[in-house]
Amino acid sequence: CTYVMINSLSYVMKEVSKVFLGASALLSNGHVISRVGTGAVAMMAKQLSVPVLVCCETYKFSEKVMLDSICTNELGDPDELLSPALADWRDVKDMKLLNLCYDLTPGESITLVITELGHLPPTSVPVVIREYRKEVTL
Amino acid sequence: MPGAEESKVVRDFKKSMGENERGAVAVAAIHALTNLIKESGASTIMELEILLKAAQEQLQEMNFEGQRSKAIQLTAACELFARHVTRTALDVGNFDACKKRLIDRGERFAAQADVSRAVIADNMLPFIRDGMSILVHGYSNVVIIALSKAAAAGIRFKVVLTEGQPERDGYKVCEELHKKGIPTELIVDSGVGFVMQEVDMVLTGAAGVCESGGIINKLGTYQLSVIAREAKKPFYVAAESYKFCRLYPLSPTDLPEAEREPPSTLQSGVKVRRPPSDFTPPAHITLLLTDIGVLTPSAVSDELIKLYY
Repeated sequence: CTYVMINSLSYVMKEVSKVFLGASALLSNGHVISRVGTGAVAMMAKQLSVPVLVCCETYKFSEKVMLDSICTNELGDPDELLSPALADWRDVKDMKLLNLCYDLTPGESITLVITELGHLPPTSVPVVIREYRKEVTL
Repeated sequence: MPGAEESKVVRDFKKSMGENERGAVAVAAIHALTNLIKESGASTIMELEILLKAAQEQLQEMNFEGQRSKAIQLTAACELFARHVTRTALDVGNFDACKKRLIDRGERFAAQADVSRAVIADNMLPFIRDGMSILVHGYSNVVIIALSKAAAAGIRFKVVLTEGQPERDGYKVCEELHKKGIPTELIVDSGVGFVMQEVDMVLTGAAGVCESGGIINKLGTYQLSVIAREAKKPFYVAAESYKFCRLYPLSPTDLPEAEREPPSTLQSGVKVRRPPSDFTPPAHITLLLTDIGVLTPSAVSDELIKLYY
């Protein structure tokens, strides 16, 4: 098992045969909302033609559609990003630490979604919602 | 085992393939499985399912003529039939009524398969216009029937065929199209990039359509799709809906056991590789022309979810 920093992504990706990711939500346009950094991993994998597999339960499928990860996101504790050089960031004028929780991975970077129903392409999210959530529609 | 007697299922399958010149592998398989149900003395659904599973294994193990790159259809058809058995069993409580309905449906399948091809031919008509040049790869009955229909409708078009080595499929298709009066040209397989600018669209059949919307087809389809995408030409696939199967290859070489490359042969001391099939990813396919309509690759999963889940 090898543990690497995310900055070394472009370097290690050529040794990778498959990428496995989790998800917080899958949107109806096939995009994936997941822990920040996921988008970078998936897009790098796509660039090098490495298959990307997302493991996600169907209760995380959402009718929402989002085109970027800025309009809706969550802020984490800024102090998580601290390093010795940044310890006094609050005293520095006009400086803020931004700790975003989630990011958006475009559906085109995802090869396959693994769910408890079986394996699906990311474009089938609205199909699953339609077939399995009939009781939700008004 | 060499010399062992062939099972009834396999014999039925081969007989059906032999009788039907244009026969699809799937139709012969369903015919053999329907006979199996008819002649079985099973009295419960569970028994039938076990019989069908065994039959599927026997069919998958056998070797038949023209098998290269068609093995996937067999699996798809058997699984479809098994799924249908489960579905019918859930709908119809009584075993005898269920068995009757299964036999009925199985027998109608062959007729429906012919209708499927006619529907695809109709769906294809709006895509072919006067003066077009169509690049075709591989020997597909659906494609031949559809192009014949277009020619019969009075549309004037030309077909460019890849040679299709080593099976030389292009030559066989050429013969068929000539009978319908369609002007054809043959190009060596490595000349695809060369002619891509001259053609208006690319058309192939499919041995199997995967859950992702990609297709498994004769070797050379993948590279054809890459060149078509680069040259911005539409890449169309004509396939009947019984070819949809629940496979999900992750790359052009990620194929099921049956379609994998056979061990390389030795020719004057050089290893020669002859993979039968490759996988074309959905991103390279523009549209799939099927008997359930003209679909984008993402719609294949939609159909499979409705059928299997």
